[in-house]
Amino acid sequence: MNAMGVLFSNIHDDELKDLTQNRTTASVPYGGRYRLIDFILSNLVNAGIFNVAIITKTNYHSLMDHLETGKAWDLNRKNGGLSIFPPFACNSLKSVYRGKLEALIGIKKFLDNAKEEYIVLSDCNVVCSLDIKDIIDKHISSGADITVVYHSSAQICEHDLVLKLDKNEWVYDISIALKELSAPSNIGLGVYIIKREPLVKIVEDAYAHGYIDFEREYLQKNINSIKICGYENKGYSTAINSISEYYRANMDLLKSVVRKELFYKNGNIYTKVKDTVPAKYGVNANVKNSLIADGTIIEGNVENSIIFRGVKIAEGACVKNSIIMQATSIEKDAQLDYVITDKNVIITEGRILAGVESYPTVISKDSIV
Amino acid sequence: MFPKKECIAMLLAGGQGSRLYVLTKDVAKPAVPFGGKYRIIDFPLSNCVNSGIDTVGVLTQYQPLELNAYIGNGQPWDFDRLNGGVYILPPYVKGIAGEWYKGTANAIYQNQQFIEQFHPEYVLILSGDHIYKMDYKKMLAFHKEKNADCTIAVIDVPLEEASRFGIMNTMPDDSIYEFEEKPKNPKSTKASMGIYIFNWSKLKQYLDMDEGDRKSSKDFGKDVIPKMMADKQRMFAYGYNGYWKDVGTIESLWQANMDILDCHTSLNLDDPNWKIYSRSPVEPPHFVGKSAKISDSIVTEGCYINGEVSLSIIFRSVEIEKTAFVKGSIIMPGAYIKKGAVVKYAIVAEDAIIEEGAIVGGNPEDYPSCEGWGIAVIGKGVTIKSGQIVKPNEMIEFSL
Repeated sequence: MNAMGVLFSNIHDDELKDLTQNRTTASVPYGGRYRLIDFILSNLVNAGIFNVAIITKTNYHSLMDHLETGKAWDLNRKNGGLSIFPPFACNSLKSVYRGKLEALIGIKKFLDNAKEEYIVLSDCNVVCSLDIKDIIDKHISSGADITVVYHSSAQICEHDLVLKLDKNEWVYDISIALKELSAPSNIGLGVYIIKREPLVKIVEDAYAHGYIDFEREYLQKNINSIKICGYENKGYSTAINSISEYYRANMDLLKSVVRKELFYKNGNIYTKVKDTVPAKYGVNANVKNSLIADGTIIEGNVENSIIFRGVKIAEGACVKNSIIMQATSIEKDAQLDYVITDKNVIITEGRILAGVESYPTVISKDSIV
Repeated sequence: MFPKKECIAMLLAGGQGSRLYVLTKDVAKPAVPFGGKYRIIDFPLSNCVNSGIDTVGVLTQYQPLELNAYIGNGQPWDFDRLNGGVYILPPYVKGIAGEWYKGTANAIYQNQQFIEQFHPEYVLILSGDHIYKMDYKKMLAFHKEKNADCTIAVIDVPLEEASRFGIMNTMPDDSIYEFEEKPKNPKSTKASMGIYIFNWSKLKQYLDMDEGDRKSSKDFGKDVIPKMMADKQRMFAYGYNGYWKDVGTIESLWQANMDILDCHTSLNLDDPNWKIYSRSPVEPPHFVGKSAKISDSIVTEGCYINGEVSLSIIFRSVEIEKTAFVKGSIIMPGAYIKKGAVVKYAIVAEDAIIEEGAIVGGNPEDYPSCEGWGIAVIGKGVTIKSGQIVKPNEMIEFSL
């Protein structure tokens, strides 16, 4: 494929701050064994795109640990492959970049030296199975300057990129939502297709004029002078930009139609292999409607939950409607309802924790409750 | 061109495993699935890499395709190295002639050139027939300490079973003075594990001699080792203390799998210091439905479980529908157990389908004299029709 990928690992860190204290948005655990970045990475590789750059900003150790050489996504290549760009101050930028346009000027040399004609620009918080080859084909045949991937949604969340399209799928208006609103809308997924050389010129121009934000200072400012094509992703897709959206996206995996779409439709979703043993169920284990990862020891009750690798749920414990991340230990008779626990948490014997569906309780990494 | 290695391993993986019948119809025994996500060969391979042995020749012969594809470049076991690695060694034509491997010793004899490339001092001979964890470097240290020509790993077996094994009779200093194959009156309980370390120069000599001996069956245990013993070579027995199970029969394969569910056995697959590696496709975590009831079992990725599962080993991508019942069984990758089907004490091989209401196997308790009871086996890709009954101990190779 004559395209390369450029990903931003830290966009939406603020909105997911409970989970991004020590990690990038890209490395937020999802679905029992994945990290959010696995979806866009796998979608790129499945489309035959093997030159992928990831621009990081802060807290990128766990991301680098997860990605390693990119081998798990078939990105450990002589030609192209995975390139991780820690931030560096270049030219007269005295600090870490403040927006995507500034981030891109930092890798200008890399972009200049690339041979691919097209770039897939993307955030890392998009969970969906994209047929990127089809998106690029449409971009080319439409003659657009830039293609924006979107999905239609029954409601708008804060910070959403709301698109208005004409009947030929050209975007004529882009707005950034101030607050939640129940209205059927077209929401941008943060995935764009643009030609590489024009992008480099846009980035140089932005740097020269002090523009920082890609959506506001390129797309919106130029809405009338550039051809923006919209590509609707009709399948399951969600952009995770809040804890409640994160919770909902995980719980959506309990529906078999969502799992079929995400994991089996457009090719595999790849992730780092950890050589864990299979899940072990005890004699009194009682699990219903849940996703259970390998390496877990289930001796208690689990319902409507997502249980990550290495989690131990003791006998008498009761975990409902919750997301329990790697290596967490839920001890005897503890009761959890609408809780998200980060990695390595210990919920001690008999503890009772509860949140609600719209506001699950988040227990941060390494905590002991 | 090849780096010098102190010790390389030669893994004999060419056997048919005929006593596994339908499970090894199309695949060599070392590639048979085990333990929910592994294959038998994962154990010697993982033992090698964990022991610091980074160069392994895998000798294949019978139905090698699946095994070869499984091993590939050895990456899952950390064998994709600049210096070393895993090498698949099928029989090949040399000059004008070539022949199949005629026995365990002949297989090594035919691969002398391969071994020579690494100029090793020692060669470790392994097989792909057993489930166990062993640090081969410790055995090598013992071999060096004793200044041995050949070290044979031995395990203590119960006296009543000793007549099934090759038994080593040893002196207090662990030197072997006598070797008896399946003795009627065993003098010791030290059974040979089929794991040998040889000084390569000495082994070469004996392989050459053995090749020239028309009466020889070209086997280590039957020919080479007895000859070395007769010539009073320095032979020592290295005692191994741990879980070791031959999985060459349906019963022993089933039992070894069930041992994983038994917290009293010493087969711990979850040891962070001794990981067992395997190659498997990445799949999402398994999903447990609203009607599921899983207990005392292990389940791995990609499964959809909505029925009742107990005392069982469930491999990846298995689907068990609502009202299906699985007990005491091993369900291999991709198998599909439909509504109302009952599977008891059976091995269901890859991609088999048990249609609605079919019954496979039975509880041992229902056969008081144990007559007529045994593990039922459904072969790879076989469909058991709706309502069909497969009795315990029955083996189904073809769909009706």
